[in-house]
Amino acid sequence: MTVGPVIIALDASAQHCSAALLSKGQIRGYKQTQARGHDSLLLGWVEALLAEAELSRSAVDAFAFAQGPGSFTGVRIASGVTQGLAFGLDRPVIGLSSLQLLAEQAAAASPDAEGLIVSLLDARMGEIYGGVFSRMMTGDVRTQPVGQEWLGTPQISDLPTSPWLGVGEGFSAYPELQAESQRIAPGLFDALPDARFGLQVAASRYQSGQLEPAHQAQPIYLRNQVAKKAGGL
Amino acid sequence: MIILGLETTCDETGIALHDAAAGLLAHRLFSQVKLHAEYGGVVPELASRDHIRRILPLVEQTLAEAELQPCDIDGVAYARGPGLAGALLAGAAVAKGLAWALDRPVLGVHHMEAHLLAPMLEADPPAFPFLALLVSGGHTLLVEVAGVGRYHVLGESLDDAAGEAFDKTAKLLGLPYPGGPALEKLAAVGEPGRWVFPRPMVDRPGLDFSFSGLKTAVVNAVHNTTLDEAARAAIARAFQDAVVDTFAIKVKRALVQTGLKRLVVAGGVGANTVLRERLQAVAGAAGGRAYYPRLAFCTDNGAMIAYAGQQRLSMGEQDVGEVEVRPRWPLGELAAPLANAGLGPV
Repeated sequence: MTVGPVIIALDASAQHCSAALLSKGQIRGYKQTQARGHDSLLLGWVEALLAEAELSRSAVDAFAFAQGPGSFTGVRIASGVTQGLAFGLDRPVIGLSSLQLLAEQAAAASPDAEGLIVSLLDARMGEIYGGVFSRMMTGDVRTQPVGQEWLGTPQISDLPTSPWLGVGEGFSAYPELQAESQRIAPGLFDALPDARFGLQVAASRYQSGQLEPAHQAQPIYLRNQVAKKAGGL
Repeated sequence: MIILGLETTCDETGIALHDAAAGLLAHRLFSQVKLHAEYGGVVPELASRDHIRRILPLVEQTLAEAELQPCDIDGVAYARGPGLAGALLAGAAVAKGLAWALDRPVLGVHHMEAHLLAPMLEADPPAFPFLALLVSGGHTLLVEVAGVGRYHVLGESLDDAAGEAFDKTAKLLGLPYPGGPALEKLAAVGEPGRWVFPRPMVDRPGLDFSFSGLKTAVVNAVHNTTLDEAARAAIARAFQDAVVDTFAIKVKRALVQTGLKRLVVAGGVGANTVLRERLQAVAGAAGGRAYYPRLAFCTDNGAMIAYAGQQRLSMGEQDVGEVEVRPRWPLGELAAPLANAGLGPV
């Protein structure tokens, strides 16, 4: 019998944060809405999760984290904590999309539904982060990305023309985008990324050797225009 | 005890290893100056993005230089504040993750405490007690230092930091960011006395500073003259003279008031050679001497964080529970190292 890898996953890409552990095929996790102190919170959970599973820190095979898009500070905290953990224990890292964490959550909630999944997070400044995913009919990973994730103003024309299921708090910020989603199954319009839903993606990547060294645990921001060049005083 | 130090308060990523017995083992620095130069100042989001890219490669290089492995680290110190929140969080996250992975203590240290202890890294360190003048782009402080963590702030800037005044003046004179070194070079060829700027707050009792009025005087001078090469140099000279005079007067006053003989000058503005010479003379006249960190440790660096962390971690102090970064953190809040007390949530 194969027991599979032991993987820790961390997420701090939105207004809350979460940590989860995969061991012996079982998933357990913590999440909490808290504006600050994410680094200490995540590490406290990592310690608690390993204790509950009666595992030592050296039993972890890889560290996964949500690299974005999302809160700049949040994705950096998840990246930084992951870097420290992976470097200190000499383990590889696996970067996950926060939008795919949402899609996995939606797919798990509607296993019998068909069609695409659209994940949206509020990017502030009148914009959203978006990603489209198709469902996988076999295996533990339920979704795979269709095309590139994007940052843009919220508009129906950017969404698929075939029926889709919506997930993510971006739909709460822009309710006019919800309509198409209702045709398949109720949308998860308040959902936030949750590390538990990244573990199967991480395990699949681990098994296929898609691993990176600790210093490659880097955020993906999508929004890269963050300052204007100076002119005058 | 070998301490890894991480400095990420602003626009320098500094990493160092310090051993209680052998002293500084290795240090590495990446300066983001070029990254921010085209924006005319530090862009906090860009600084944070760069720190998270640089920290681990610098840690790896520092360990390699010291011929050590991660498991040789006995404790991790990071700059908890004051500084840019996003930049502080990047360093704190890596430090805490690494310390947890290694099952070692971690401690967030005060960036300004680290600056004022930086001369302790030199071969001829000052003994306690001493007077410290901390002058950088973010801070201007006169502190009576009785020992590690025993600080009495005697005076501080009521508006701009001295380094800020240097940067703004340099910008007015068309010099590149950061302005300090370029302004000093230009002032060296400036005609003395062509302009005389006010020495702010020297005619008042007390040890506080103010630099915004001096900046206004520079603005007026620049706008009321034809800004040729000679005028630029003369204005730079007049500005530097005013700053150096102001510090000399206040430091002399503080030495008399406290009866201290030893003076420590730290922070980026402390790299100014004219200021260094003048303050050495002031301390000498008071029967003492001035102590400076080497030039590389005047500006932000990891070595001073590792050293400050060493002083506290080796006494058993460490972060306990959820410890948040402190973008604003008055130096006077610190206490002497205390076993198991930790710099917990405030």
